[in-house]
Amino acid sequence: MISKIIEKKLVSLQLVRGLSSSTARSARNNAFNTVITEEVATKSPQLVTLHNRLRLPGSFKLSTLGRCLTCIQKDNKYPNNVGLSIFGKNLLSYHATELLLMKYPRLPLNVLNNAINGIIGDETLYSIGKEWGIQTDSSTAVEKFLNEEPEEITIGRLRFDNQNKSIESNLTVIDKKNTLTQEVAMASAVKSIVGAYYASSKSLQDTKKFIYNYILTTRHLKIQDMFEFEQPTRELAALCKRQGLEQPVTRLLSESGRASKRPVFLVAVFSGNEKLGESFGASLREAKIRASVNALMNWYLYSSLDVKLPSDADYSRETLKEVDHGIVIV
Amino acid sequence: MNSIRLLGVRSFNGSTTQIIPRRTLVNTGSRVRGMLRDPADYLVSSSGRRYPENATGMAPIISNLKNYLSQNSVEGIDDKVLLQVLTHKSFAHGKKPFNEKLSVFGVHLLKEISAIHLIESEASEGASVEGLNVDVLGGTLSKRLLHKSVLAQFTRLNIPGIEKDIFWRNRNLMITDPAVNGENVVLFDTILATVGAVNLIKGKGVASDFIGKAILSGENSLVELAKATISKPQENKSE
Repeated sequence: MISKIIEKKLVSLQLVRGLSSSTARSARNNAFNTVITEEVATKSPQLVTLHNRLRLPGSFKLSTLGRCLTCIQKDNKYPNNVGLSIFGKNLLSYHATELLLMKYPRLPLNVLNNAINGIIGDETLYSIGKEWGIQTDSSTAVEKFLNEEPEEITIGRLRFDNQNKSIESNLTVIDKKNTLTQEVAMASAVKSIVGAYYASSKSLQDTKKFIYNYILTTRHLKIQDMFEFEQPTRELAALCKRQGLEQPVTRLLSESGRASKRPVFLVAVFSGNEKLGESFGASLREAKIRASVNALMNWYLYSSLDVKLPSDADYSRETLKEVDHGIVIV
Repeated sequence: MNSIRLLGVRSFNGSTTQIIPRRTLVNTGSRVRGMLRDPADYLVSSSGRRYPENATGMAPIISNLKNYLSQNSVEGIDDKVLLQVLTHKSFAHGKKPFNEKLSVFGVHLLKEISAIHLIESEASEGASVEGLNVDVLGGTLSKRLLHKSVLAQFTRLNIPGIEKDIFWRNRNLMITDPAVNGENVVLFDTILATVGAVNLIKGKGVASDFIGKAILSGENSLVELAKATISKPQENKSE
């Protein structure tokens, strides 16, 4: 009896599938898709909760929030979030770059790019999405059909074709036809919400506030750990020459246990009478290199006490005569 | 023919310790292993212009860019910053201030403003969000818009003669194709650095207006040039 019911349901499911493919839906194209209506979206408990949790404005429709959770799928029923995600990424990238460049104007470009990735990369946005409480839709189409899952429940979850399908515990199938992993899909949903925030509010200032409150200020980034110097002493010498400073000189400040098994040397780098950096090491050479690294870090991680952003309403730096020179090329 | 000269004596006034001035001998002409090159030898752009050392020398070089900015209601950017906008990282082994970071700052702003412009003005087949056609993004037009060749063409058309003002190192003077010898990349970086400098000094409001007025509208706007590059291959096919 049960098997007959399942068989009947599968047959009708096949019919539904056949119908959907005949409407020529492509994964990327949104032209032929039906739109999530506000009426259905209002009934979705997940969408209502997420909307309230993020304190989204009333102009941010629940149906738009539902679209933000729709990633590219083979048989797209609803319009996907690709455009919104790209737009959200543009907004996020600008604000992340602006914040870092204004806070640390001397950051080398590779460190800057890594820092941007650390703030708004897929990994970070995935954890932010999870904190926001975005649920992932892991049930198959058959399971949904058999459970008679209502549409409003489905649209409240993050929907995507997962590249990694977990069959059993400790067994995952990697389907390379699907391009999205859970991490990427969640990140695209977060980016889409940012894009949709602008679409709903039509205000760059309000969107900026949302980005700062919910994304940029939620993570602490250790920028100092992102540096890697190949020739720190040479780089420091080149930097001093470029900036018109006296050539760096390393001086031993103090030492202990030179003849012992574990000596410690405290060394500082000076340019004229100005101390540029200081560090210690188990040998004079190590201490010298560490002191040069410290001096370079002091230079690159310079930060103004009063950070103003070009996107602030009252911003103006007309008195600015010099912009950061750029990295030191050794 | 090689010549050797004394580069100069550096003195450090205001220092309490007595420092012996450093004398440096530099070499001009073909390279000699172990000898420093005379800066006068390499501080010359690919177009033959010498890098200016003072404000008088700076004025004729930055005048073209300054005029372009003032035509688009942007005034008050310091000459030194404009010279930095016109200096590429490849010039003089990065010894002079270059436009790399201004360019990065500019590209992110241009991406944001051009995306808003596209979703507000361009039509798409997909469902819009609050009247914004977000599905335009990720399409051919939005990708072509920030393509190096399109932005380079835009710079050439809108700031005529700027390629001669830019300080950069041509990787091979025998190659004249701008797409291969690096000229397109240099022009691309320069226009983005211009946007970045306006944003940094005048703020985002002025920079957005500048992008809207100077880059995204008009006969030779970025959008029109990007559309032209998309339609070109189709025309060739039909021919």
